[in-house]
Amino acid sequence: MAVSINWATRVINIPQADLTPVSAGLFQLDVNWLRLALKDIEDGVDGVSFPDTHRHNTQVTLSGVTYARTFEVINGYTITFQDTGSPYTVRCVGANHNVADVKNVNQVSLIIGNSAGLITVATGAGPTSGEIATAVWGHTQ
Amino acid sequence: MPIATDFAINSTTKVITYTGAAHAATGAGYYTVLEFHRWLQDLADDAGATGDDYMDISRATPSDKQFDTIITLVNGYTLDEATLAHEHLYAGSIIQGAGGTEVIYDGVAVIAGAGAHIEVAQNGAIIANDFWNAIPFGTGIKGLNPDNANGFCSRFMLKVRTAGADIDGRRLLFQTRELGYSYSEFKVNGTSRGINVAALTYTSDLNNQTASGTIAGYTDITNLVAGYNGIVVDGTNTHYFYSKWDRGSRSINQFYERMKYLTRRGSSDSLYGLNGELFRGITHEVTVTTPRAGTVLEGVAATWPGGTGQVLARDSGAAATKLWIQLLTGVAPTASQTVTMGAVTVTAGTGTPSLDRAVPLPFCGVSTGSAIIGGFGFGIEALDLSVNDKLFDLTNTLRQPPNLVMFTVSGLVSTEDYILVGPGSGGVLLEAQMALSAALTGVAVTAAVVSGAIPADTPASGTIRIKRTNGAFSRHPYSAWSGSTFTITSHDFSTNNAVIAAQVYVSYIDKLADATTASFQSTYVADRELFVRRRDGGGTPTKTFETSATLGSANSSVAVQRLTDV
Repeated sequence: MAVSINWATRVINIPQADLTPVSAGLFQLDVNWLRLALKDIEDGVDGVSFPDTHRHNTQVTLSGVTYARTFEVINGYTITFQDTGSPYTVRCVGANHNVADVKNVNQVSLIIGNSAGLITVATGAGPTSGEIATAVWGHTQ
Repeated sequence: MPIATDFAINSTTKVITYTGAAHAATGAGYYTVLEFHRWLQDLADDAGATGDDYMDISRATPSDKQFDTIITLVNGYTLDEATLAHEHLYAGSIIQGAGGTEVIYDGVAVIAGAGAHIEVAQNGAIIANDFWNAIPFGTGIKGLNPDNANGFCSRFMLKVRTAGADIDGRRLLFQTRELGYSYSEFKVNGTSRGINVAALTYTSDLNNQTASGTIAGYTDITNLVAGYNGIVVDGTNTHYFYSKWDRGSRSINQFYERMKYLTRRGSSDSLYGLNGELFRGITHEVTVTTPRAGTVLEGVAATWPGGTGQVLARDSGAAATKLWIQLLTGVAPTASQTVTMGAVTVTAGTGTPSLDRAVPLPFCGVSTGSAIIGGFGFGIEALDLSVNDKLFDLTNTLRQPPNLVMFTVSGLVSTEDYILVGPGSGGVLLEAQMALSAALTGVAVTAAVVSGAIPADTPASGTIRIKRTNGAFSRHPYSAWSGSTFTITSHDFSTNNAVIAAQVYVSYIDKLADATTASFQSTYVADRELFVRRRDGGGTPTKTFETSATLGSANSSVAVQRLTDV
């Protein structure tokens, strides 16, 4: 078993055997490993006909801190973790990603593991301190 | 010098000899036939002969004038060829003798640029004694008796009848074949008494300015087939020509210059059994039929009642129905005449079996500098042609090479990059370029048929992609295509079929790179949008490179980018 793609449905299938067992019912997915596996498929005779499965930004070192890579599944591809008939959990490591956004629902649950530092707000300048205070005081249980 | 000092009349033999200076020497005399006649008549009324001119009132009248340009020597008087007397007269004809001794010298006036070197072919051979090309003393320019104000580069007389018989029907072929200048010819199909005008051109050929010694070195230009042969000029169909030239490493214009060199004045080269100087190409297409005997060869002499020629091509050795010949003497074969080629014979067809074909000059046709417009039936191997070349086959139909354009992808890493070039539309891969007209379900399928015609710019061989039921586009090499059918390498479609209307597209380049570049060639029909994708995963992955490109009427290329993606 290996990572495979159903080209008709654009579903990326990840067998449980390719995950790293952590404990009973818990498995770990190295997202960068998944990325490389997908790239290997993309440059094959079958894969080259189809659009990229993902977008990748490599890790960046800034002031001595290495920021994690990002991995984004694109172009309508989705991910299905092998449904073995027994529920299990997959913990993602190695990159910030959007796997949860494109994961097909089954008995496999996901621990995303993304971590954001400083973020950029897409529009506007964010809430003012007054707006925050109003919102807190106006909050009811 | 006065005419009296240049000619002498023998009282016994009645031979009029030339006694003046030779051509090109100082004092060489040249006189019109009328001046000659006037001189004779002036002597004939003298009371007594003087000097070496034995002519006076007591002797028979030496000449008669019908017109100013037609003089007949009568009563046994003749010009002395041994002293070249006839070479010093011009502007008319001289007739002498009668019956079996009759001789005619007809006047010739050549219209061409001053200094043109004129060759004359008579009775199937170039006249070796080309006295008319002498350089008169002090002029420095070739040509006897020129009248440049009226466009004549030389005027002289040629013997066209001897011993009471016309020489090849008094036919003459005038030509100029000087390297660096235009080639031209003018055929006189039987001279008349008086002055026969031959109009030639002698102008600088801007596409032929290479030194003769340099062209002599173009020996890699060869005629692969000197005879009837088929060439696929248009990239599709075979058409027939009488030559198949290989221009080797030379440009098409160098090739043109070589053709002129082979047929230049003084050539020692042989073409189809003829000296290059005499070679003209096909002059006649002759329909032949039974009875036949033997196998017709090419490059051999042929004879028939009333003419001779050289066979340049025939459509069949054992059962020829057409001969393409260069006429050398006489007239082309007429109905039902037997054409003899050594021990081989064929019979000319009924009606009008011989069809005149225009003779190009030079025989290969003309050069535009970057392309050739071929003469009738002149063939060049297809590989040596480009889109602007024009050839005319043995049916005199224009055949033009396709515009073969090359698309190249560069910047690849061999054994690392997989490159796909397919049809594009709006910047994406056009997967629906074609659609299957029938499902593919067999175990050993060798043909994929699409709806409608396969695009005409599809390469003759290559690869296509066919969409399978599992959604993948499988790759299939094809060895040929025609109409709507690709001939593909046998493939098992019994599982994971390709359904009817499944998408099909030509993958113009579809392989793991085996060099730093990859390319394909196709025939330009219209601009083709292409989609280019390069990928490299594995140990040192790179980001996918995608771009669109257009393959137009000229070669095109794309340089891929390789950005690491680790």
